[in-house]
Amino acid sequence: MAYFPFQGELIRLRAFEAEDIPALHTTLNHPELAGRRYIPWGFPGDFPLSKQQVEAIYKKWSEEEKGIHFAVVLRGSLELIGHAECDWGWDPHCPQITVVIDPAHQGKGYGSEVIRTMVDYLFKNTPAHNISAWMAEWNQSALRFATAHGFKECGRWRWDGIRDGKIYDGILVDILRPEWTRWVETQGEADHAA
Amino acid sequence: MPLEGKEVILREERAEDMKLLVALRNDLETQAWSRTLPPDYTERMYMKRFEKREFSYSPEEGRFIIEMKDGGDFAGTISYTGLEPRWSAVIGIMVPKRFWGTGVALDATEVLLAFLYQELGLRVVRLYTHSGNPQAVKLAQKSGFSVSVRQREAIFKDGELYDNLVMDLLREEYFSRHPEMEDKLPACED
Repeated sequence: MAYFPFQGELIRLRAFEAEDIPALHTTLNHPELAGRRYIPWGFPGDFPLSKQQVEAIYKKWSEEEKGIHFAVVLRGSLELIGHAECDWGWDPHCPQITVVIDPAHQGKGYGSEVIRTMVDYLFKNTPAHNISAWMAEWNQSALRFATAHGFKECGRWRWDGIRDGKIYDGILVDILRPEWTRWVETQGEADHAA
Repeated sequence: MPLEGKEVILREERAEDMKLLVALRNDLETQAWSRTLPPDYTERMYMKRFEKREFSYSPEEGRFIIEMKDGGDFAGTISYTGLEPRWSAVIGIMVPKRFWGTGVALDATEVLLAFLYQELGLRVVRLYTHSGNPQAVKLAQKSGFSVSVRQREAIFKDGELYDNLVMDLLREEYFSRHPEMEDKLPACED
């Protein structure tokens, strides 16, 4: 079978198309994603987004040259359920990733497949040595998600922002290539035991 | 009036500085970048960047030449970038080797910090460096910065793997180190 690293059993990663804009507009405006929707620098992180702004975000993602933005779709229905990014613009030695799943589709293992697919892709198809991701301190579910997939917290830059009357830090998590290899092996054993 | 410290002033870039900036950039020891850049930058490239700068009332960065008060010698460059107005910015500095260990970098950093905290009203200032540059870490610590993030083995240069470091200095920490100044900006947290 042809080698195609951009899918799991449940999800597939594909390029965004203009037809996705209405669905993307709905997902990005989900109240639970405010402040953690991972849109390009310069766009408001937590305000409601207009359709025009979402079109501009789509355009920016499409023009990305040193990274890739995926639409996350279900393999069966092809429904759009989120977006994900690999960004090696600073240095392919240490790319950053993001995973955003529509809250209506969380808790079903889709995000887990997305992160495994992307990290596997980067370590097996690029010279990446350290892969990192960042999240706001208040986004504890993202921290749990990352650490459950072998990432380790490597620090908090202080005073990342202010939200609901509280100043919060930004958290960076990372994983090294040998750690990922070990994590996948252990996970395989755990899956087998289960 | 330029921004003034004990030994240095920070002033705007001028066309005649470009040659000296190129020399700093093309020296692997002074280029101050976590990912090595080829030492092939030209004066023409710097002139282009210099001339491209547009007038703005809301610039997202500030770039200064460090000049010795005594004699007017060029002593490097210092900048802030990624300004989030009234919140944060990232600083960077490059100093010619002959000024290393003279206190010039510390003086210039203090001048820029006073500007960022007292004039721009920032709440936090950050800088990026790496574990292979202990002089930069020590300099930042002297100004009150501490390491908040250590991304393991994320830097490869000079044949070695190093940790990427984010260092930061909060407004309240800055003012507690400067009892001669009073912070009149109210806290923004409940």
